[in-house]
Amino acid sequence: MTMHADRLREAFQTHENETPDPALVYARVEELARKRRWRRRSAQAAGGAVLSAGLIAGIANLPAILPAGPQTVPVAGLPAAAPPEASALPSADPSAAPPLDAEKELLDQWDAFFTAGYSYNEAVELAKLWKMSPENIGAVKAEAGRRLLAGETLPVEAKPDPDVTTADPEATADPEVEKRLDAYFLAGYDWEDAEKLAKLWKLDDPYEAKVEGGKRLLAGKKLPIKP
Amino acid sequence: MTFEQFAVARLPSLLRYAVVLTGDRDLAQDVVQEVLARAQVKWRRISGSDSPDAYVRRMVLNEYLSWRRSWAFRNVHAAGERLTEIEASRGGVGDHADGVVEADALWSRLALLGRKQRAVLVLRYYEQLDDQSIADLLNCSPATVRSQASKALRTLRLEEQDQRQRIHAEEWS
Repeated sequence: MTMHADRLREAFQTHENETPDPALVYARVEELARKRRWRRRSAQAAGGAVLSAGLIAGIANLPAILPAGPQTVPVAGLPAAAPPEASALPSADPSAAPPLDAEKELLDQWDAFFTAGYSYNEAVELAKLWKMSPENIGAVKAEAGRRLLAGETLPVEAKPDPDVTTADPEATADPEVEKRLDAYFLAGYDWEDAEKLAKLWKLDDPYEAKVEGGKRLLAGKKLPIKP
Repeated sequence: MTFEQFAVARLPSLLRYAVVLTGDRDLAQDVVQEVLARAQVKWRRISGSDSPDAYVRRMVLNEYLSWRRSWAFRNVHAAGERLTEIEASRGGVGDHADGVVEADALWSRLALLGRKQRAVLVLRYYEQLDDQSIADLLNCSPATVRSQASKALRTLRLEEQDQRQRIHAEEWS
């Protein structure tokens, strides 16, 4: 092996562990997935299946599961940065997996937060008001959800997500169309598939392909491409 | 394997890969988050592939190569240039006896490379792929891979350093 190869390998290996906190990244992935599902209201009926309680458990358990290794950045557990009043949150002890009821509680709190129409932006505002770390936004939403479930009113109003309200073609109120879209997504098809189907069926818009695809699936037909 | 199982098992490795590719912790986070959010949506398809890990790593590579938020690269470039200037004023890498310091200096200079050149070096020396595999991943020919690697090594001044060290070793032998 050449000298420069050894040097490059050493440079990469010396810095490869300067990673962000995996638990934080995973929580943000969940956040993105939720936001996209919110936008795709048609699939929301089955949303619980996409983001299952198991996934929540995975987030809560991540700090315990992920290897500490030579990581230079400490792995912060999701609830670890919660303020004292957030005592209802799962244990911050990363060595112990949170009990199932605590996971369910966390899920319920998040659901309460999102069901009330709140989203990431309001969670950031709440983090400021409550002096919680904005990097631990999952804990902020859990605390907000806990207060909502206790019948309290939050100090910020839920604002509609501009991404959702601006002429989202999938934010339809037609139950029949929603049913078709549900069938389409539940069969495992996505946007890229809709683009292909739109070409095959010579439709202008992939959205129309999704509705048409769902219609055919509900009629027991097969689509010309696999999900 | 479910998406959750995959993420728990592979997220640390994906983040390390992204850090090495991007040279920037925040950008690595953005890239991996974006990729995993998309992977979750199409997990059925990905988990049915021969190697879900390879599939997602490829998504990370493509996301890095097509990332539009160029401010991050400008920042990294500026930092890399400043560090290179400091290092040059000290007399160059050859004067550093400490391997860690040398690795740090090289890491800083890697920020001077274009995305594709950096990707070639990462795939070749970190992922230890051969040129044909790299060409397949980057959708180019093996000759282009060799050319990109050669340009990158010239920018990093590694080949001339190799040569200097060889001459130095011969003089002392």
